[in-house]
Amino acid sequence: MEVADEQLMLAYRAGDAGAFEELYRRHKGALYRFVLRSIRAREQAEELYQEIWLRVIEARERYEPQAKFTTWLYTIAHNRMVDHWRKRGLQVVSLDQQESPVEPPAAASAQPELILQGKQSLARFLSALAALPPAQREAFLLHEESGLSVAEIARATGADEEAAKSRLRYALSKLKEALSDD
Amino acid sequence: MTDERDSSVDPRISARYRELGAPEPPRALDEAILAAGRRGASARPASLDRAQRRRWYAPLATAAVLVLAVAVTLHMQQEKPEIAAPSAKAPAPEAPAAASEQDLKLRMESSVKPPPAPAEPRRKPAESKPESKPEAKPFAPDPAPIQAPIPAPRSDAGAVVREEDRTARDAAAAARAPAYGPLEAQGQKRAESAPAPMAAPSAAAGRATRERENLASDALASSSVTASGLELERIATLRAEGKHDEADKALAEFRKRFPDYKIPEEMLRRVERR
Repeated sequence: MEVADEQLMLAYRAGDAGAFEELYRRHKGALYRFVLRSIRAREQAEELYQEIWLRVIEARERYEPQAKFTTWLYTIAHNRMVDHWRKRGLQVVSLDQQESPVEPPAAASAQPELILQGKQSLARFLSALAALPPAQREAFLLHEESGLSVAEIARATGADEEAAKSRLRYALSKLKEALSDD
Repeated sequence: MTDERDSSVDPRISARYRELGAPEPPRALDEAILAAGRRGASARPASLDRAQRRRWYAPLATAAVLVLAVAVTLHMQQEKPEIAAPSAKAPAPEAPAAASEQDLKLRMESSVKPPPAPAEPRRKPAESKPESKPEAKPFAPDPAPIQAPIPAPRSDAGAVVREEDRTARDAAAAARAPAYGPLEAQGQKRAESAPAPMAAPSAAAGRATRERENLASDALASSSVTASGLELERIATLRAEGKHDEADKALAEFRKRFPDYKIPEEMLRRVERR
């Protein structure tokens, strides 16, 4: 039977380096994609991704398994993301209903093969995802990549459940429109 | 939770999202983060020790404060009766003996001007005391004049306050001291009491003075003269000098101040009006 994330984190807090390696193996892909598809530039995304894990390492002594480890991990990721957006002069909440500035999405430009291969529908979907307001995109990515529920999304992002639910619904609605164009 | 998620997400959207691929972080990034994780794990014991030590801080500090508070309270309870005693039980007579050396010196300087070459510094002022100051008190049973702060020749206000405190402390300490004070203190009191009797130039006064001096010398030599004894000597001197009113007044005051003091028969004959 697989050891729960929370137990691994407690073991790591107690000094078990192997527990951290296992946690990292489990969550690295989802977290990396969450960050990569939230941030426009790969370089910035990787920097942010590393900062998030370093925060996890720093905060290990304060970790208490009051919630799922995943929720705790993505709370840290959300906070780092907010810091990142603030540095760029953006505010997550105020942009809740606004589209992101129309720029070529970094995620799409990072995967030019999608376009080159003629997978236009995927490119459109990626562009629609990149064009979502940050809060809505975050809600969708948290839902898809980490499997968080609406309540857990609300907790990780510091919003109430209604707001989290609304963001997710709007995000899904816009992405569905991109699908309908196919 | 799962139901909520499943019901809210269109499966086609999830499928399309999965088609975007699953990029992974670069291996170098993985290594860097795992190395940081290992360093964090190896740094754990020191921080844990700190946390364990921190857990002791509050109880230890609380215990220390309690012990200190109890110790101070006990100390204050022990000190309290001794501090209260002088004002409540040990009144004036002992207080003059308590005056500090400096205070006595200043008092003597202000009240008595000694002659240029005093062969006997304790007697000369008495003998040479002019009549110009008959109102000068020969003996001050009331401690107030001594305890009152003598203006110190300093400009430092703090120093003056400290001097007053020191004088008060000396007075309090002397009040706690036994009635038989040190020889020097007795001598100083005798020197204080000397000037006034000399104010009366009569033969009787001369005799009385000699008698008093003899008695005082004996008392000084035996070092067993009490403050009350000196006071009685003063009354006897007044009586011998014919100052009966003053003597009566002083005797009444003495009895009021020392109600339990049994005056020896011989002294009683000298101090009472016959």
